[in-house]
Amino acid sequence: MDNVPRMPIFGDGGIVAISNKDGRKFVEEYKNQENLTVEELEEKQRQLEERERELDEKASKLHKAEDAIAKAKYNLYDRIDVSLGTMNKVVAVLAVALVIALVVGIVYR
Amino acid sequence: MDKTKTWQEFLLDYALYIILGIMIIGVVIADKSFLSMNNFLKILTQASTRGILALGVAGLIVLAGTDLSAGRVLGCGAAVSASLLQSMDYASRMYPNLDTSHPLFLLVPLFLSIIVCVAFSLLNGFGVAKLHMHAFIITLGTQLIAYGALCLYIDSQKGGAQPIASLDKRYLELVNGKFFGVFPHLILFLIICAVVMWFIWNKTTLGKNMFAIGGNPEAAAVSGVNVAKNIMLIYLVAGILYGIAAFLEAGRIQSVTTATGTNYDLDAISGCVIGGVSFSGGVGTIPGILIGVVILQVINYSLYYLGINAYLQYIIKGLIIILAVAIDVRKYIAKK
Amino acid sequence: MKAMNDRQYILEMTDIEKQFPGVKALDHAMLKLRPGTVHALMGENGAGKSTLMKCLFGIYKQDSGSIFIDGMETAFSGPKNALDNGVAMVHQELNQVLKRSVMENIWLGRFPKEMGLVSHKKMYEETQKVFDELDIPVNPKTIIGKLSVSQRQMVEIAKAVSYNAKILVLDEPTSSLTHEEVEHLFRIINKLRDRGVAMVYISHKMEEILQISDDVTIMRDGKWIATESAKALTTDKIIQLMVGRDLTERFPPKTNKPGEILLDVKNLTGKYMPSCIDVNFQLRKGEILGVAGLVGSRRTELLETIFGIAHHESGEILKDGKRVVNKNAKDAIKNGFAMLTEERRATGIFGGMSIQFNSVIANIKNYRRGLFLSSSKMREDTAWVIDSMHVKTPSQKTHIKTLSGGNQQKVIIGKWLLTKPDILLLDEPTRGIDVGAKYEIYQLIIDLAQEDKGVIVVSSEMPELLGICDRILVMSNGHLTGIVDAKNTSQEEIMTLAAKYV
Repeated sequence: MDNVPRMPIFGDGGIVAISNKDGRKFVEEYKNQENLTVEELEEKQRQLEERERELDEKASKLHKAEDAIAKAKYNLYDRIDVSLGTMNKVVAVLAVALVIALVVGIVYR
Repeated sequence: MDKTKTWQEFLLDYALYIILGIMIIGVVIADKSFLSMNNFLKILTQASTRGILALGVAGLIVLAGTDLSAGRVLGCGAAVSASLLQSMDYASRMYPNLDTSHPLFLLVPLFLSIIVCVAFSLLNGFGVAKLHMHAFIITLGTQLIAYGALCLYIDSQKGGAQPIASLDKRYLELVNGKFFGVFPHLILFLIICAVVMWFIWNKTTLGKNMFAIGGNPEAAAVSGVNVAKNIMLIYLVAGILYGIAAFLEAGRIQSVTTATGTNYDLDAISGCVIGGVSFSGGVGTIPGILIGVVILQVINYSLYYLGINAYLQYIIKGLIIILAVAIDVRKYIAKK
Repeated sequence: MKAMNDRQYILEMTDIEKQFPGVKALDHAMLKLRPGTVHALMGENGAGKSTLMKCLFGIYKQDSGSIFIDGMETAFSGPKNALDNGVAMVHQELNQVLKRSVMENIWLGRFPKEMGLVSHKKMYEETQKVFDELDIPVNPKTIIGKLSVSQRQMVEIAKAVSYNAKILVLDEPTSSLTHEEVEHLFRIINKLRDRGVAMVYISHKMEEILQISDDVTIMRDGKWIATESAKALTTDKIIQLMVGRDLTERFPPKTNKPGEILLDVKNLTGKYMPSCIDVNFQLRKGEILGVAGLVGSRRTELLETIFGIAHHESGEILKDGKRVVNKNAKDAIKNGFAMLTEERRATGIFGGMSIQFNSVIANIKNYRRGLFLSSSKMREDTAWVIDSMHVKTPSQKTHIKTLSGGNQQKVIIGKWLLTKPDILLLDEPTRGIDVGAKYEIYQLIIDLAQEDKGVIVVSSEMPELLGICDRILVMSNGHLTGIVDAKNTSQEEIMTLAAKYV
């Protein structure tokens, strides 16, 4: 059994690759070795590597997001703990208030 | 994070410009003459002194600070300028024995105005750079000191407190004159200041350091930038600009009282914010500031033109400032 | 006069001692760096690595001991002084002005000038030169904030190279990099090595260290423990040297015995998606229940929903058979729950405050004596936290952010224990904590379970879950896909369950 298929890999401190439905099927198929050709095995291996890379990226993005939060707050705006959603509402409300003020001002001269 | 902007986000980011755009279009529709070159020059002229002031304050905002004293300090500079350039045949002249007939004498008040304004500015700069006080606090204090000084100065006149007026004709001509009867001097002065500032901001080490300190003071310090010295220099430059603006403003309004300069800083700061100078620090462009100041002036004019109640105008301008900052904050959070 | 033989070491730090009030940070520490090599510096947090580096850069002045650079005794006055002399550091948290361009960041403090004005042209050319040498595919004019972390790191390295650094210190360079980015970084490191640059590589990632370094120095408790060639080392040996303890004892013996049902979670679904969906499980007294799953499986949301800081759409929670409703953290604490968050620096600690403040803050109402707070009681309780959690600190008043990650975590756990909870929800309790401190936290968790508390532990480290838990919940995209017995399961089984809804 030279072409030992690569099992999902656990990196330093975490799960790095997944076995999704296809992968799982692949594991089961591997158990019934006779049903697979060498090419199919290689193809599955490539797919698995791809998925592994994707998850690696997701993990690193999460790391980045964590870093962004965890870094010391060094300027005024970093102290603002408001979510984007809330901020959107604030801007919308202010814009509407401005329009109303203008309209009122024009109408009631 | 790469996010393609949805139309809602676009709407939010440009809400201010859209609303103001509509308002201005409305005014133009109501009265075509609003769009005339004459009107345009008038607006620009009114904006010039505010613009020069804004160029000074902008540097401080880029440093992630602010300057609440700019208006009162301008008042002091204006008082000094005006008091030295009153018409020689004016009865209640402040300095009756001062001979201002020499043509070059016009430059002396400019010089003194600059010195006065720089003094206040350096005081602010010292507080921020060496004492690590927040710009808001120290300029709040300086504002009161400047106001007190201004009042004392105006009060010290022989006949008691009265507007410093009846200014020298040459002075008035220098400030309010027009090249070829068409192009106002003031606009030229603004342009000159803007060009010089553009150079400083973009082509000198001081400018680069300013952006670095405003963006990340630690990174600047670690790279060997003398943060305190650079901050003081920026405040110095702001002081010089205040001095120039004060000299010109006195000539423009032709009468200086204790009320001169009130809330000028708010206009300057609003202009900067509308023009894209972010309070988060490290962000801003000279063209942006000019545009912001002009837009603000156009707004002022339009509101007046539309006949909106004067007090309501305050509310509207307040809303505009808050909206501009809110959009700025929103953009910052969206990027995170 | 240059010596006849090539200097063997470009950097020699010998017998460095540094004492802080109450803590001896460096005790005869030693580091000898050969030119053109990568020298890994390893040790637990608190081992003295960063203190040693700070002495090198002149941020601290050592009490005794000497630093020789290229044979000459040196003492830098600060990082800029060090930089000017060819000793540079690439920090873990990059200090860059994000809104400015790459080239401006690199030349900040020494902008190339032409006739008194800053020359953008020269800046660009000089920057491009360095980038070409190091094979860095970044446009010098890009705003640096727009680059990825790995690219920003490469820019930082280029900056050091542009200062003609002979000695480069890299602090945890790969913590935020993907596999490919690490490879690229290593290519650059190899190039620098060929140029004769000596590098100090500080990291916890053992596989990488064995891959890239020539020599490895290990420190523990401020002392130099060993310096070996990387070829002669294995992961196990390194851990052993770092921790001073046999590797086989990575986890403490489990002495807890699960008893009767403490917590019953039925059909719990979070209100704001994505969150947990229809989760059912039970937690027993004295049980350590793990929660496994991939990134994004909503394990944190599950804990938050149970604790009440995230609202639930449907389902109910029974504690000791009685229905409990946690509408917010205050309710949860009152009902005997405690929660340790994932991101302690952001949401777990009050960084600018003292250990005392951080310890007593959750329990604050218990210190009310009339109108005031009893400071003696607060001091007593904080002392208990420091003692029982074995927190290494000179005093109660020390600012918590000066502690190492592991110690911070212990303070937070201690803080929660003061509220005498029955159920502890721990979200990644050992993330970012070194091997030795992890052991202590595992011991803490087992001790808590032994006192008949129920502990739920979310972790991304499978060996950890398998090592200390009794049972393990597996979540996938918000769904609970299985509950397995830690003793009878395997990593593969958990993985399969974790991938079910992906």
